[in-house]
Amino acid sequence: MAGIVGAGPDRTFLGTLDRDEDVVAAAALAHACGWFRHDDEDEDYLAGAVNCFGCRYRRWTSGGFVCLRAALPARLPPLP
Amino acid sequence: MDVLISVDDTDDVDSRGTGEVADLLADGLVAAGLAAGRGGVTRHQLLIHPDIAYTSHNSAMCFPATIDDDGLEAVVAWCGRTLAAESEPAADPGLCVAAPSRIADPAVLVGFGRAAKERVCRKDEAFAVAGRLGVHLSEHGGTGLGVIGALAGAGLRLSGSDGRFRGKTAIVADGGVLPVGALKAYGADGVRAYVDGVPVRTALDDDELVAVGDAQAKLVLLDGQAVLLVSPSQGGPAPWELVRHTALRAF
Repeated sequence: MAGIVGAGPDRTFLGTLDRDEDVVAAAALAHACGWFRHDDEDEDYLAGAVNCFGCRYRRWTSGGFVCLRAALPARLPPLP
Repeated sequence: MDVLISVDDTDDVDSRGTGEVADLLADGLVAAGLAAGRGGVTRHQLLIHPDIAYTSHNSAMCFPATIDDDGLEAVVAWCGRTLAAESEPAADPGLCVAAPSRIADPAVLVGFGRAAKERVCRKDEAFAVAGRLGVHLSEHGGTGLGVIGALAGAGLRLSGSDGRFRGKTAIVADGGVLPVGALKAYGADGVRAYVDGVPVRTALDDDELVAVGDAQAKLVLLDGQAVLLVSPSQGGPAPWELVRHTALRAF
């Protein structure tokens, strides 16, 4: 089952772009997240969709990605 | 003389990406009169591993340029200055400038690129390979660890079969279907069919039809060519359809 595990700077998503259910789960997370920002076109695999897999704050890992936003400096807007 | 210019680790998580910096270098070289022409920027995926200090993707960017035979030194100097100025303060940028015609054993450079996709490579290893081949490799800030990806990017571009081209173009098609010949007008040298990452046709004929829907053309580098990928249609209006964007991650 895909989804976020961990908290704060260790928000990790275990899942893959190859599984539709993981993509759906990441889309739900992104739509509920005030931090989402599209990554560069080079890194977009979902045709501009709002999805954590396409967010500039995700850092790829071997099993999914880590959400970096919580660890970023305070110059960015806080989570609503 | 043709050279490959490759950069890595120029960005921060909240900054413009390395691809944009590579494009800036490519355009700037031409504008400065240091290059007679430039090719497209390709993105090369390297190993994702906890021991590698990548920003978020661990990918390198590379482009070819045509320069004067005696212009290598000036190109290296200009790229180094510009890369240092345009990279983020927290970045660890690296620059590689390789002239394939002057490399005695290109397979070594290609081999380093492939190794960086499969294992953790070290900075001293990258400098040793570059020194052995006579390839320029330099650090431009931070830890300079971007030299590993920069050298790997040049090797993978030289391989002719790795990565995808930066940028994509919206395809205009009445009825959402185009023949292969028309698709090539979007910058593709060829159109190939893949299923689950495996090639099933290496060259489609110009009159074969492809369902494009509202997709955008994204080219990959295969056998030295800019290639558009299609797969067998799943009940669409044509025998072929553009591959899903998610499948491009494998390139």
